[in-house]
Amino acid sequence: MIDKLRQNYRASLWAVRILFVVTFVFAQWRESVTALMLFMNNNSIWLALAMCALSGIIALVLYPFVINVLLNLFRIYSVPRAEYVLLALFYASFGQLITGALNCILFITPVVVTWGAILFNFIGTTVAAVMFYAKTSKLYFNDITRVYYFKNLAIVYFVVMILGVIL
Amino acid sequence: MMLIALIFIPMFSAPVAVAENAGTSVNFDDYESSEVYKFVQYFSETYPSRIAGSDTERQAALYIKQCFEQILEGTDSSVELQSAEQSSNVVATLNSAASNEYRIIIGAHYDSVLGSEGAQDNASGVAALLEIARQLASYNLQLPVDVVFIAFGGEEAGLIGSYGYVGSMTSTDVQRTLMMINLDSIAGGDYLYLHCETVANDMERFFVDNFATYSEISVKPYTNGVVVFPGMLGDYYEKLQASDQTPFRAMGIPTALFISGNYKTFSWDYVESADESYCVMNSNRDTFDNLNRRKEEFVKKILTVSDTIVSVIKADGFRDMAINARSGLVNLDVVYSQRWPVIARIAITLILAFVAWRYYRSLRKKSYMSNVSAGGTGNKVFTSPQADDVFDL
Repeated sequence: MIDKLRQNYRASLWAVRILFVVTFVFAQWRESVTALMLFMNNNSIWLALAMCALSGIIALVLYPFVINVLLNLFRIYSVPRAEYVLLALFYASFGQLITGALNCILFITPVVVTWGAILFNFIGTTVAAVMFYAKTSKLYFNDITRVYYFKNLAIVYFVVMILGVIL
Repeated sequence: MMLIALIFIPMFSAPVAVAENAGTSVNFDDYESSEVYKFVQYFSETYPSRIAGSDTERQAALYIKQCFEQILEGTDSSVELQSAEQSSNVVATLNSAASNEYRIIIGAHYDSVLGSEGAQDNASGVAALLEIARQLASYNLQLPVDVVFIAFGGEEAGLIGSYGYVGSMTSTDVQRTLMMINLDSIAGGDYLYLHCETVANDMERFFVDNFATYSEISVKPYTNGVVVFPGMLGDYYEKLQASDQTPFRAMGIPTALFISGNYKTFSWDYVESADESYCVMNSNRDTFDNLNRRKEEFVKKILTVSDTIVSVIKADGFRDMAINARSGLVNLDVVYSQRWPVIARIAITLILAFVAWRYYRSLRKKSYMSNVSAGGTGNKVFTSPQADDVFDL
């Protein structure tokens, strides 16, 4: 699948962008509905979904920017940036899909509401990050350079996780 | 302001006709002359924007204190103002002549958000609180337990009053508190709901058996934001709502919450009303005029809550039920406290960090070996992207 994605960049880019926004809404819609009710006293689920989709589009714009900043910061110049961003978006979409699927458990039993709110996103992000590393380290790095790539990716991952706990 | 209050208090404290078991007998055709109606109107319009720490909030607290003093005059009781951070609570205790071994707490917050009259949220709850005090004042000789009435400050700013009060409780206070009943926004929503402990006690049944019937009350477990399928995991699906009962529940005290709203519009979540013009909570649209569009319905809801609680306290077996509820309370801390999942997340992160460290060491070794076999110096591994580390320059 990844290989097919890489063969037709333009079509893949739009497909992945749409997938990213759709999965973003799938993973975050409940928070959006709640936020709309709490802060705007509005009950419209369509407005909530629209707000969620808008947030997804904003994230879609920010992702490539952040990735480029990180690659420059860690002086990793050997990867094809556009394709790397495409893969990042694809695996982020995969993580969101996992988070959204786990959130469905909340409809079966609310017992896990508190645990789910804290752990589901963490699980989705972790699985996506591991798979993203596994793929990109094979595609763009060799046995000599992989250690440097892993170190920096691990730093980014753990900083994000720590911020997730603190915030 | 104080003069108006002094003139108003005697009006407010005028006795109401009392029905045979619990409660108030009110002619709902003339609901505007009821005490709760007059209180909600006066309180919300005289003390708008009762935000935590403001002068208005303090004046509102003093007014409620005067109301309690007036109502409980001549009884074995005490009324005091307790500070809680920048806010303050009004605490009125009605002592039982029979036994002071146990007590229950009935609470309602009196603050509001900025720019709001807070008629629905929560002058309505305070009106019910005072109504209950009025009815129980003439009953205190037969009270099975002490009853503590608390008007909490700073709820909207993060449960400041209730957390402050719980923080000031001694272990003896905690042990002898059998139950906490919270009244929050009980008049403006479409329907009345009772959220109640449902596990390992008959507290819910006890309330249901004593429901007053001016307005219908539905029982809901402590859920918010989710669909409930009864039967899953043994009906074990309570979730605390974020109001003043939360700190008490966290201390292991059984709680009940009366709130008005609508769980029918969104089956997965709470809204105040299907009619958006009644969705006013925490906004400047929460005014007495808006609440008064409900006419006698809002008075009925307040009196339904107050009469239900009075009936429950007066009912035979209340004390035993409350003791049982207290002793049989299931510890929900592991399920509903955010502490444990956060700890679990930190623990998993640490395990991942350890695994990552082991993996990083193996990668370093592999990098070192590959560097040597590629003809490198072999004296260091690849730790930064210098070209001569990768290419033989």
